[in-house]
Amino acid sequence: MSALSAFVVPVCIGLSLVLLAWPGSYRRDLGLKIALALGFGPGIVSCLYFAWCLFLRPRSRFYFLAEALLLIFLIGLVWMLRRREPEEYSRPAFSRWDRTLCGIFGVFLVLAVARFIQQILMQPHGIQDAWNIWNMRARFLFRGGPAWTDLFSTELYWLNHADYPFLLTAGVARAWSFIGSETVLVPALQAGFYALSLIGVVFFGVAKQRGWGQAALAGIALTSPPIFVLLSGWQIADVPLALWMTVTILLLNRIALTPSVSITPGQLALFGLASGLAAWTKNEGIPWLLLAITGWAVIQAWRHFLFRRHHRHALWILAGAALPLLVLGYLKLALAPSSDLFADQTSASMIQRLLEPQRLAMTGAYIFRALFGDSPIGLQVVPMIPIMAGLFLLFYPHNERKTPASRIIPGLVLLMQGIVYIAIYLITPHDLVWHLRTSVDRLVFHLTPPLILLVFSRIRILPEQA
Amino acid sequence: MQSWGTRLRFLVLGLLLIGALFTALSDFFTRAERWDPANLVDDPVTNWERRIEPVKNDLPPTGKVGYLSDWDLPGWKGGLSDMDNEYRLTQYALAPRLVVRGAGYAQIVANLSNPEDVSRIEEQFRVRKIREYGFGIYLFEGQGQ
Repeated sequence: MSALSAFVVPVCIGLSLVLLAWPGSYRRDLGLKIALALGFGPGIVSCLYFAWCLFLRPRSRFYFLAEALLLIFLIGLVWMLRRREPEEYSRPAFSRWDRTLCGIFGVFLVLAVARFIQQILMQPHGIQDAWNIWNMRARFLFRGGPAWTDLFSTELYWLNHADYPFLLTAGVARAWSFIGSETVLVPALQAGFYALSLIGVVFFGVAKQRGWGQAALAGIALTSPPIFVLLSGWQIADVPLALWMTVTILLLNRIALTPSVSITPGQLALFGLASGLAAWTKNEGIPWLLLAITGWAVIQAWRHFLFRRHHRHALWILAGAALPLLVLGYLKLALAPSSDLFADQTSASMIQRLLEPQRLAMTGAYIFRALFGDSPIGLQVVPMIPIMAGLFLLFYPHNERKTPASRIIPGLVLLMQGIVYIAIYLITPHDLVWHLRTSVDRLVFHLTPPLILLVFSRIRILPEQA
Repeated sequence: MQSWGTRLRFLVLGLLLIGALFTALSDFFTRAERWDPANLVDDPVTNWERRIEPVKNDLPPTGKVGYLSDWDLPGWKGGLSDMDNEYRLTQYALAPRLVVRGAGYAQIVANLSNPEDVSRIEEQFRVRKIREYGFGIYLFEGQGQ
């Protein structure tokens, strides 16, 4: 069975869920829905497969029967709940600028795919973190039978990071189980799906706000820097995490813009699901989940929302986040050893590190250099964050009618995530230089795609928009 | 006559597109230059897996296995990162067995660059060589469980 076939059912599950949750007719925003499905589908089944392996037998054919039944059920729901009256909606206009820029974006997309394939062919097992952490654990799940939980032994080398969440690991193990063999194509395809999903979310997310031409520019900004292709091809968790952060920002932006009475339960559930999947992807997703929900709560408080409706909305967000949070909770509380960041640390030692000026100075220096494209390990990094800041200052439409003040909240959530990253560096028990060198580029990348989405959704850069 | 705002937009658009094209193309051609068809069958991870593959036949499918290497020998002054990398590659190849540094196990996989160190390992850790697999990979019998 081909490796690609393992992803058909997950993507269909993702698409069915998005069609059910997204407001309006099924054809509305279809490109964005497909982009979301490419990520949500594999993310959801990774939670389901992990839960199955916890309590039942890994590699059981019954799991895939259950998945198929779930898909049939969802398709049935999609059919039953379809809108019977045609809905009138206006698509963004397609001008000469739009055609030209979308054509240019198409070239960049082809180049990005070619570069991704080059990267996979050079390192079929991915970078060290891919085979040492994510795919190594997938081998335990795939090969180990009931003994797969041996990987949570305290004797496992700490750099194998048994405490890391299981989005990538369970997804790879599930796909290997589906096709019946371990192939390096599976992790590569999974990485490709998450990368494509991210490109689609940025492109279609911006198109909805500012049209196709500006969406093409956002897509070019995302796909042209080498680090995007590199991190995708390395088969590690940074691109999937950036995807969930971008989806969360997209939905938080919609919540901030949409009148409170018009926010649909489905949008709130997807917001909860994206935030929850961020936490299921990497440990950095856990503070993101908390910040995203805090951001939503601040928006509601800003609007002086009625207490009762506030609670109902919170329940929908919790419903969306429930599946990833349940599996993550079980992993962290019942299985995994404590994180290497906090093992052997006390509150006093963390506070002491937090207050050391030399640590703050060193962290600040590395982050500043990383922001401006100076990678400590020689990666080719384009300074996208300063470029986005420059575009925002130059082309923000100040003469537009006043937009809700709550629209600053998504940007503040991103900024707070950056502050959390700084705090993590300050309290790390590991050698600070080692920790900064091996991760600062990737952490800066996490913030880049959501920022590209936010900035290009706000500015007016095309000459026809002047 | 175009306004300064329109001119600025044209300028910035042009710079963005040219910069993006330069970045993407230079990345593509750099990768193309580094490409070697041997990568398809000769990447370091696949090579290490081939090296360790024969050991699997002599190990149980799950459980713990000890691991010894040059860095366990007294007076070793080599590179830590290479040793660490080979240890992690061995864990990756032998999963779902747990590969634990040390000799306190019934079976120990050893990775030694010098064949003369086999006797030093036997003496120091009170283990006995069972099999040699080539490329410095050995299986020892220990006294642990």
